[in-house]
Amino acid sequence: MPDDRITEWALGLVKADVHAFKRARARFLRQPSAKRLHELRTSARRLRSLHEDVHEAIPPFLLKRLRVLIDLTGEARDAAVMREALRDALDVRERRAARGLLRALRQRERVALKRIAGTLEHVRLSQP
Amino acid sequence: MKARQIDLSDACGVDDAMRRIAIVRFAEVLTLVPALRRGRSRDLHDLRIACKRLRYALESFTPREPALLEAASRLSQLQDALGDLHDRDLLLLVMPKKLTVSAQRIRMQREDALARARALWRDAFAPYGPFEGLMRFTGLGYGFAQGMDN
Repeated sequence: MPDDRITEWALGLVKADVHAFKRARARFLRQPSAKRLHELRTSARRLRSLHEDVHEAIPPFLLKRLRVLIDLTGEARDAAVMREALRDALDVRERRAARGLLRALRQRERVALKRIAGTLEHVRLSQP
Repeated sequence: MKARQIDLSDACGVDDAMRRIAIVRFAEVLTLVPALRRGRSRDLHDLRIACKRLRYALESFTPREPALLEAASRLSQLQDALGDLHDRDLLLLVMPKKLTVSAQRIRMQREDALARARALWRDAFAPYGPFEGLMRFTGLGYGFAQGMDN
């Protein structure tokens, strides 16, 4: 990126997004919840998206870790949302038949949440 | 769908860089928008991701270009509707066959989400509508102002 003004602007964007990610990370680690998971996932996706727009903005090693984190948060989020949607739409006569799936989704969410906490240990960002 | 790389090496200043990014990301959305008519799961998922990329870019541009705020907000609504649809698609894939009544309800919710997404898209191109600022900024999308038949 030869234009210094663009570099400076891009760094400003990265700085803001890194700050948001760090805050979301700390909040999630302090007390995981669906809302905090959503914030964490969104902030990681924003960083990745920024990298897609301004390619030089994020170092490749960090991008790889962000990708892993985004996948994991996606797994936890999908399981939670599917469970919620199934509960909402569930016909009373089919409650028993849905029990296994509801349990499996809960388990999937739990496993993913645990792995997220582990992954977050390795995703440390420093301000540019 | 993978995001297209954007060459900013010869961009003349920040406004030009923002415009180039917005043009590429908006073009990606416009290319994928026939998915709303077809209603196929995979295509709608790609469209949702493209909307997300464009929205994030526009949100980071709004401090310098407030006219893009409305488009970003409309994209967020569109993304929500497409997200609801995608969640239902994923759920339908894992549901046991014997949950017939519940599956039917979920299919109806999916159709509602699709109808919502279509309406949000159509309305975005109305005169002085949410995409007005984005169209002016990028010079794209005027052909879509007539609706989804394009």
